[in-house]
Amino acid sequence: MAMNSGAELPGSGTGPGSGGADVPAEDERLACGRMLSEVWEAWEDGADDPARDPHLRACPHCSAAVRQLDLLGAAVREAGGGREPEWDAGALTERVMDVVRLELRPGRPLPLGEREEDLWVREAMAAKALRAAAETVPGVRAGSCRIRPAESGGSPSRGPVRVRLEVVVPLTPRLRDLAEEVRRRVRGAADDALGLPVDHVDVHITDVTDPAGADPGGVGAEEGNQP
Amino acid sequence: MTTAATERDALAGTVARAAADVPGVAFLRPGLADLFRPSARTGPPRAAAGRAPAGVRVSRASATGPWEVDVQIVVHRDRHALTVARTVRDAVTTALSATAPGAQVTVTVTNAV
Amino acid sequence: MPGDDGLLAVRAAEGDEDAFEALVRRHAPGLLRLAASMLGSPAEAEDAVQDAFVSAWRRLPEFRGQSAFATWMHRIVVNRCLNMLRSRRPVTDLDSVPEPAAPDHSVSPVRAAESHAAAVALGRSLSELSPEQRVCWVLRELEGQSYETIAETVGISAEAARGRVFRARRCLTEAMTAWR
Repeated sequence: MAMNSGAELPGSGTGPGSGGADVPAEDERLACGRMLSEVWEAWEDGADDPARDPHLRACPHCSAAVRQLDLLGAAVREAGGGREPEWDAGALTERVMDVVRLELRPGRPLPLGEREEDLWVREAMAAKALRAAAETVPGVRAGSCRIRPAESGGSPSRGPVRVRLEVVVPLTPRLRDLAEEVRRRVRGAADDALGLPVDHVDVHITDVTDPAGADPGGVGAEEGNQP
Repeated sequence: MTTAATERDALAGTVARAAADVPGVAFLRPGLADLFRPSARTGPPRAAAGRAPAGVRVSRASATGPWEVDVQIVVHRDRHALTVARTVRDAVTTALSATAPGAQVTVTVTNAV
Repeated sequence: MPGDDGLLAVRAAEGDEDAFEALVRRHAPGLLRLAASMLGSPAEAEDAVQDAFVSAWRRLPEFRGQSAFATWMHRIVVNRCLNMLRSRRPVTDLDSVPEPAAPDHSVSPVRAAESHAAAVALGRSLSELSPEQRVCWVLRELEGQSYETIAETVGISAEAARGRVFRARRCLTEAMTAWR
């Protein structure tokens, strides 16, 4: 073990038989011949099981070394026990969000209303509304929601958009029906909450959760893809 | 300050007032969120007096061309974004009809709160 | 539910600040605890965690979910703490040694005074460790991480992490022994 860099401790002259020429600067050879680092590691690995290494338990030097670590552990628990302040994560969250709100990433402008109008909505806001609509279907959780102009051409395009939404859904034999319901609600919200003309909604099921809360079995990307 | 700049700032002030009064508009972007969230301890600095209000940009390509007005709004979450945007456009157009007739108004909804 | 972190992180990466707020609220307490044990100061811990979250918001668009959000965040906080420890003046400032808790009155006065003194001794010797030793030790002792994970987080080899934890323990057990 390389022990020769960084802040060195004063040489370990405390233990009997410490410090041979072959011993790394901060390690220590116990009187029984074991290295302190080995003893501590064995203790950490649970190798102080007497069946595996009877010496560790029987040897007074080794058990003294282990007791030191136990004492340290006790002091750590003692110090941690009452000292932890009541963290006010609420105030911290507010401070973080104050900065975040000055550095929002609103995304690209998407057209609102008719082609000849000059009204827009930013992608990040529209995506929030569409995810929320998807999540009105019981058990559905929405992830990525990308909204792009359906037609290529002028930038930014005034044409209708194409939505690509990823969802995690509860396990059901009728995944296609579920995807269809998600698509219907997303279209509804694009109309009723935003006024965003939508050409196409792709719903990608990225994961399926067991309603019993057990195994979330990934099924890859089951795709429901009708307009 | 030049006369042109003064005129522009006056127009921007008119636009900001007209837009902010529209029902469903929470505030103009960027930045006046702190006015609406008393809990916020830090926030963007208030626009210095005489500077264009946040969320409004007024410009024109030439000294005689039509004014181009760009308004960025944050709406209330339960409001229909398109309806609020249209109402803002109409309110701003009306407010400018005397001082800047024929102004081209662009409205962008940047967020909902 | 941590399974939800991935979805929230994707949303936040796409500019959904509400999703990010949910992540901050969820992970702030654990990260504050971690930072406080590394820095020994609640005020500095709050600064470190706040900076880490702001930095995470900025870097989220490049976060591709190679690791869990919690792991990624954990790493940002550890590195922030490491930098803060490194920028401290090397001389031990006794005033910066954390004030341990008031004695617990459910135990005997003698016992309470003893553990109080032990906590003081521990705090003092902790502040004498090198930043790397301290961080590796906290990750091992308080977070129960494997040497491989520590190595990855801190950006050193597993063997080096093992060495730093050993040196930290050596230093701390000696301080404990001296106190007794």
